[in-house]
Amino acid sequence: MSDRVTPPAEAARALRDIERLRAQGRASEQQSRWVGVVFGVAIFAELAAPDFFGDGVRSGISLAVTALIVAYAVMLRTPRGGALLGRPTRVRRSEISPRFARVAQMAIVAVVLLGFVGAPFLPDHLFPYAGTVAGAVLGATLILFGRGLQRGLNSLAMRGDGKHGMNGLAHGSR
Amino acid sequence: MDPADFDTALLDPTRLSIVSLLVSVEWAEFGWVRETVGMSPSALSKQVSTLETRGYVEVKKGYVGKRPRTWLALTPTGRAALERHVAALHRIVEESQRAAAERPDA
Repeated sequence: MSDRVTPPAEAARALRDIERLRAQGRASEQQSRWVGVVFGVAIFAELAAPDFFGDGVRSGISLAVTALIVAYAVMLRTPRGGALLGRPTRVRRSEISPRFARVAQMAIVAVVLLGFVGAPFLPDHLFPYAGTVAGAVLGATLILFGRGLQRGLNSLAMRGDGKHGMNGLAHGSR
Repeated sequence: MDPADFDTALLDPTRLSIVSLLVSVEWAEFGWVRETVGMSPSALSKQVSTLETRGYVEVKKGYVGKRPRTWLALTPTGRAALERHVAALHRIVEESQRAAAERPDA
């Protein structure tokens, strides 16, 4: 064991560096643009297909999109799958603010419920090709701004979260 | 401050950087760690080997397509070592702040 005693200034600098690197790790979640393109096209296909091929294709397309989402979720969980998606890291779930996780879960449940409960009350056709227009807008948003949206969500999810996960890393290191 | 509170492996700034970077992720690609820490592959390999020998870092190798990849992950032992090291650093800073506050000319 070393006899070296770290002076306070050096200790404070080491703590700042540790916190900075930890934040870099938290902010590292990113993925290839093609992932956004695939999901953008999938959303467009799901919403636009009934306009061109009738309501009969709706269940088939929904099934394909669900399979895509499941495959994506499975790939996220393994290093090899993550590498295929262009993700160099996987952030620990404990780094995500519990409040953000709760809000996100509630938002997902609300969207699903709205889809099931609200859909029968919507008029069949607001205007011709309404699904195509909605699909094009949503798909293009995902393709063009998907990475930016993901970065924004990441910073929101991790913000103010320094006190979770590891005691002593958050305070006194500024 | 008792020097025994510090982890000798983590007194090296490079190794401390690697462990600090890995603490918030489940795994990280070797290439990403190398870019973020700003080291050459051989220098990083050497430091990672030291951390692996102490059981602080787990190294997994595999292929994505035909390309070999290496992933690094912090082990529970490594995490505990970093926690102890950080606690020791905090104590130094707090003791120094307390000493400064108690000084009559402060």
